[in-house]
Amino acid sequence: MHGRFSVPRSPQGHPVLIQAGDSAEGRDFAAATADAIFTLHGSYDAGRDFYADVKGRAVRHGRRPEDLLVLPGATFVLGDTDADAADRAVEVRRAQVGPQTAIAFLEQIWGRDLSGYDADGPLPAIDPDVDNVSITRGRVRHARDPRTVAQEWRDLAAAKGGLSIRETVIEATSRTSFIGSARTVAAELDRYVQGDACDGFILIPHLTPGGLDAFADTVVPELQDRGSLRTEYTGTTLRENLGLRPTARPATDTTRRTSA
Amino acid sequence: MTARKQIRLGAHFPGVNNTTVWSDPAAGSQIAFDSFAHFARTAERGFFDFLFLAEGLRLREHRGRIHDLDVVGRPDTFTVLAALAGVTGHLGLAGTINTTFNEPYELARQFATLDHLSAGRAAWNMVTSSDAFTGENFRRGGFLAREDRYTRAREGVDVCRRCGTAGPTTPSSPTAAPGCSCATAASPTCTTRRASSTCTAGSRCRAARRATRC
Repeated sequence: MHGRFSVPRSPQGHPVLIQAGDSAEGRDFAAATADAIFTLHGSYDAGRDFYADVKGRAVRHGRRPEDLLVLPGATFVLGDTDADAADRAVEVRRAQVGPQTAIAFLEQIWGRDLSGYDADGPLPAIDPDVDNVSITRGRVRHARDPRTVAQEWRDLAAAKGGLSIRETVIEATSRTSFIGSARTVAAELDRYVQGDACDGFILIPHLTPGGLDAFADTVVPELQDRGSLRTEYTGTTLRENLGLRPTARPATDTTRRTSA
Repeated sequence: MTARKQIRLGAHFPGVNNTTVWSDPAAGSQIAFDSFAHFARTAERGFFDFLFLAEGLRLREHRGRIHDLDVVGRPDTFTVLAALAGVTGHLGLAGTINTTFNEPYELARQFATLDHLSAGRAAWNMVTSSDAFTGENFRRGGFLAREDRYTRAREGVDVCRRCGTAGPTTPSSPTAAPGCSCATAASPTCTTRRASSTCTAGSRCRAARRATRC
């Protein structure tokens, strides 16, 4: 860079920094640098382990635990009752993973053309082609050995009484999902936060653009009643609303001069 | 009494990947501004901290064809967020922006501008993908070795921080406008040159060989 920066200092100084990536290097980068980490660690127990790990890393980088927010991605399905929501969640998963999608998922693991297989039939008996790593281009690759993943899927299918390809993909690719009545979902989200499995969530609705409507109308008031969600915005910036400390000039900023 | 821990909420705009259901009669456009505005206003009505946009720089290909199970097309993040700044007042605006293929100085300008337009609501979700398939459409191509991703990301953040915090602290004051000599003491100029900012396509970037001069 040369010369003076061409935009005056903005209200936050720099944007709130979110880091996505679960590798050890990614975690360390987040612990040293980010204000929030977007993770996929889903279950309550896995969340608590991840939370302790990255907050500990932040402290080792000279930061406070609360300087780094842990925000897992999560889906949700709401219903009038828990049973109603459970039924709807099954429908949503079947809509998300149709026969074609199931075969495409399978091909990404197996590294082979599996278009001749029936999505309602059993998993292929043949093993993954581990040399064909480029069957799908432009997506984040699984770092794990596809043969290991394939075996896990076979074990899963067998353990559940002989799942079809589509059923296996639905089971194996499920993310953390909060399913139930508004009250149930609010209680469960809050349990994660109060129990230090995370600091909040990045919610991923399954419908655009109205996928958040019911959540805002029904779950948000429940969270507010529990005293866990604001009833008005109190900060003037995103950083303030997130409870983060104001932006300082970087401590390592060798360009800093003492102001007159 | 200890204050109860507050839940932080981000709202991921749905539109790509197979998590979005398109067979539902209520499914609408993933690209019309009305869709973004509706989603953002709902998040703000629900006191969410921020709206979150993912990024799609190149359509995925599967067995040599466009992955037709993906939605075709995703608009530019900065443009959408800037438009949303005008229809919201409190909601944070988080954009997923790749640290490898974008130039740090350009990103610093874009985020500083978004932060101004939104009065302090900009957020950057940093992703470090470096695959050559995606890089093909960028000026330097697939130039970065996978193990150098975070070196490059650190550099992007560093430039963003230095530039963002180097300016006058009272940007609304006409006397503090860039180029005005009276602002010099509070806004030092600097020259930074890093290896991965200046390397050319095909070369391998070395970590943080830097020369900083003020």
